[in-house]
Amino acid sequence: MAERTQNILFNGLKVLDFTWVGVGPITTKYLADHGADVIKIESVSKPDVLRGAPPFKDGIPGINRSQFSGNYNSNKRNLGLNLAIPQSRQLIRNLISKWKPDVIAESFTPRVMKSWELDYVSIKKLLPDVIYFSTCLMGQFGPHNNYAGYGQLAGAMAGFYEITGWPDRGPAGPYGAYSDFLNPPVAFGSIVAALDYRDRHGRGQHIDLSQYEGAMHFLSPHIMKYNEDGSILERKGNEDDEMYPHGIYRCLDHKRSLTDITESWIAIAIRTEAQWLDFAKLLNLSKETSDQNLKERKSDRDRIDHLITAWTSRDESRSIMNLLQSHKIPSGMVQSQSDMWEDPQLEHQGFFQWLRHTEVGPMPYDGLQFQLSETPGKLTRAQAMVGEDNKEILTEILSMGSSEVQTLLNEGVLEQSF
Amino acid sequence: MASLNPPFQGALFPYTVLDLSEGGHNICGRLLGDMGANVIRIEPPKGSQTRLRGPFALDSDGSPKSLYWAAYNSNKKGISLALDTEAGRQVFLKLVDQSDAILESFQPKYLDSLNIGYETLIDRNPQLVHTTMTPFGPTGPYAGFVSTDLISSAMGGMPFISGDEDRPPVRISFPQAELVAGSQAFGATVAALRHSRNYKIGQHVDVSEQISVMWTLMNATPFPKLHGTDVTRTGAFRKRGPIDARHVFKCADGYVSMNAQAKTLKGLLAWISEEIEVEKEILEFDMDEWELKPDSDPHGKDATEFKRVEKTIESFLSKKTKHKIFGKALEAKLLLAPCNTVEDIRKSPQLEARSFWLDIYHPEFSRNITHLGPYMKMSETPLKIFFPSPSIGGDNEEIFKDIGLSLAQIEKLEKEEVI
Repeated sequence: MAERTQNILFNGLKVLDFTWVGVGPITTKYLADHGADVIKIESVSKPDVLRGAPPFKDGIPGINRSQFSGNYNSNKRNLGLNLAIPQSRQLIRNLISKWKPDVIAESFTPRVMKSWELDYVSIKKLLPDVIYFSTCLMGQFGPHNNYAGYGQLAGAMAGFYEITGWPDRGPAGPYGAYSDFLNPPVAFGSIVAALDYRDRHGRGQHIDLSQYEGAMHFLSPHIMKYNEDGSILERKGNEDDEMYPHGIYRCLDHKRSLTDITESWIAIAIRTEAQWLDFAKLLNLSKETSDQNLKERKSDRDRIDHLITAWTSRDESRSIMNLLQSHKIPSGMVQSQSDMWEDPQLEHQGFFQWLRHTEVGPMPYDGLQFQLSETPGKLTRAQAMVGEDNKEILTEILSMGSSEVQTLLNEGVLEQSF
Repeated sequence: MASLNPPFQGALFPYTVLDLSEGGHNICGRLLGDMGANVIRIEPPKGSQTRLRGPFALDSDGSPKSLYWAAYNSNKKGISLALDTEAGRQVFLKLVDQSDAILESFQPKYLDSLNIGYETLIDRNPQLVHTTMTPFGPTGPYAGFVSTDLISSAMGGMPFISGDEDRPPVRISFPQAELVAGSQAFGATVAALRHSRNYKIGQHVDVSEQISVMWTLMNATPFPKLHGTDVTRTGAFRKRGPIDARHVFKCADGYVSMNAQAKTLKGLLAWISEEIEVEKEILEFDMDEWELKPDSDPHGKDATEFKRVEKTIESFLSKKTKHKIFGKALEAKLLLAPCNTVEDIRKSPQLEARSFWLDIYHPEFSRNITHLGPYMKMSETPLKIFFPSPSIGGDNEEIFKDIGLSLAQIEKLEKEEVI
């Protein structure tokens, strides 16, 4: 038993999870994937919005079919509770008093939990040493604190749109809700740091993560630079100040086995003069060209890019990558998702995994964000349906019988999506 | 080194961490330091390669100093040490004996080649957390691949889905792969440190840039298996059923981004009709009833109506400033926000109200440098900037004395260019 315990990172840790969409669920997922008991509170009337977004099982929409939300909610139990009903809020308070979660997490705008009297100040009266994690777009206080939005908007506000795309065109933005994926690892670390402090001092605390502020830490040198001399970082395609060639070049089209796409690209980044000479030799470039230094190459870029493309477009990206890497030249396939499903490195790491969803069967999951040698995380359970664990949770924690649970279901206090 | 603040117990106060990592991986140790850990940044006697990374600002002598270094190395003490010398390794092992974690981003097997790899270190200090940040992981067919931000990003799938449809894929114009790996390493290292304290066992933490980038792809990865398709890049547009809906709009002084949800479209039309005349027909569209599914007719009634609304919005926003547009978005709760430049960010009243900017005196620049504030607010153990990024070997004497070296020994190491 002792052996077993020390191999589970968050053995015995209890987490009550009111979060939805991106940042919150991914943050609590780290805890769930490493052994914590995470109970997610969700309703059918207002489910996690990502349940309504693709990709879906067999491409068919449905509340139990989305892998967008699935990927962020592995290994969690689900209590289907409609918090708009006062009786539900009493039930959750009873559950909190009885179960005594170590961590409570929520990702609404600041007014929501307060309106339900489930905010930190209210919960602290029930659980003085709780770690209460709050995250929203703009932070718990300040003139814009109740501004709600998605990570696409926080990504734009934090500066990532302006610096992604081509200088002669408007911003394209990185794909998706970028800030939603920068914040969770740091949020996770802050919760564990707070637990560590509580282990030693017996005191809980409130964590306030503004997703807007967090995202800016991934751009901070340039924000500091503006403070120094007013210069503004602009989008520059794939250019790099310190390297050339540095770009993405077209390769020979080829059909993938999983999808119909055919376009194929290689990323090449020449970091040193030695790499440039090796590269120039492979491409059979003239002596005048291979003798050029970084500055000369940069001013001759159109011609050199043309020569590179003429060379790369003769073969598929995988062969070019393998050839260049065998000469220690930094290069890599510009992988589509179907390429990543066939990536031998990810295969070696056992990255992608399949978990069986109770209703719709096997679903494809992204693997863990990191590997711990002695306390490895493990994906064991697919995303639960809304209310899938109602009976188990209420029996276990509040000693309710089947008929009591059924009554709450009939009254609309409890909900389930099946 | 004198700290600028009085002693304070951050959440990670008990831990000492040796940081040998470079570049964006430095954000890991920076965050540990912000939470109170004693982080010792080890760099070669000639200086870390991260000091050569831009952007730069001029110091008091007029020579450029790296703001990249300054951003991700504050709250670290700095020592210099040549790990490729025997004397240097002996000092390093003494440091490891008294530390809780080491962070490194060398090529896999590099420390093994110096006889100070994981097995050696964990043998000496069984409670040590050894965090490695590498492009593709420590083993496997790509473990030996050489990489840069562009390569790790490309292999992690981000450029393929970013950029304009008619041009090559693009990366984000500020390197992200090392930073996202560094932030994953931070979370994992904190967790492993706590476990080590509770159970007296250390371990290896393996973070790969490729996997860290993949965790920024939102919903893309399952598409091939569930829909039989790949997500492709669509630039300033997002697929909305049969049509490409704009999510980036030009405005008078830049760009704004919008989620084209019915509530936001209605709110915008209400604003527009306060100021200019909008065709009555457009105002009467029943947006809640629009059916825009992948198999809907791209020239059908709903798609045509959507495009007419979008055009009205596009033309109106083109004459308004970011500031004006965001003001309206805040007031009417619209999913519409500015594509800020770093200049706009600096003017945000929200950041001002949350005291996000911290002016810290930096000895290397001989002046105050404005730093970004804490990553998050923690009520009991607030994150702080205790001191700015270190100079090369700035804390040698203090740290080496701590592990029992005499002044004479320190001088000898200096003369031999070990430190």
